[in-house]
Amino acid sequence: MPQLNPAPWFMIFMFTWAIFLTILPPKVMAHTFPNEPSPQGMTTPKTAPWNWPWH
Amino acid sequence: MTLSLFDQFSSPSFLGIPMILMALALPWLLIPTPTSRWLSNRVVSLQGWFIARFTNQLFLPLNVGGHKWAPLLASLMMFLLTLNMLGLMPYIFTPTTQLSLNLGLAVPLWLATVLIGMRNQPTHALGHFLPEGTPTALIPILIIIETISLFIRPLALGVRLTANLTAGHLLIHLISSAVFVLMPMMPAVAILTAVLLLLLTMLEVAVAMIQAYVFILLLSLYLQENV
Repeated sequence: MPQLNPAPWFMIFMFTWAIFLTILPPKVMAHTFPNEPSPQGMTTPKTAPWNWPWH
Repeated sequence: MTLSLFDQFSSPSFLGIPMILMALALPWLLIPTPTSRWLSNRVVSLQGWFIARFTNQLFLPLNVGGHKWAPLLASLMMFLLTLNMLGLMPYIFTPTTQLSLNLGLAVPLWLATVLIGMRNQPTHALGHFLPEGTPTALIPILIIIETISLFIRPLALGVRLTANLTAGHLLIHLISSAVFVLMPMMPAVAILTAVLLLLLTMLEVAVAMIQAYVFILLLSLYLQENV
């Protein structure tokens, strides 16, 4: 099984953690949520249609 | 040289450059970083909702001290989920089939949970070695068994992900080869095998998502025991 060849193991280990620690957390943490979590039991407001584009 | 079925898993290199660096660095183009706009687009909104709901669900059973792991486990979920799902497409290398990657993630994270438990609440952490209500005569053997099961955890975590993905890719390879070989000889059997391949591919999509989730879930359980 070629996965058991230990030659690239250290490089893969280092690079995985480098990507996992530098690229991903900024992407995940950049998501912001504008509203506070609301308690359940509130009536859902009726939504009005909007005429401006999605983005 | 003739290729064996396992050669699809050898860490690819081109002109001496290991291609796994590409496989690890490029998928994040599919996860756009949200800007400071109040109104985001569909992709960003969906990813944000997924991350928020997932992290909420995952951290419900954890004490507040463990909540500082939220960014790490959310990032790890996106990491594994993206790599697993992308690898299902033809000719795309799946880095999570590499035992080095999975053990490299599992061992440090498991060790972190164990060290946190041993440092902050050593009595409580060591108490996991002896379940309540054990008959006195069984205590020595049970402590040995619990110790072994503790140390097996990172190995199981890494090997579970590796084996599931490797086996899935191997099966897809085998069955698709069978479809091609059977097509000129027995077209009816080839069509049945193609239906089987379709079902298997749907299973592999599910396995890709579930195995990523199981990895994270087990890490959160190990954290729950220790924090």
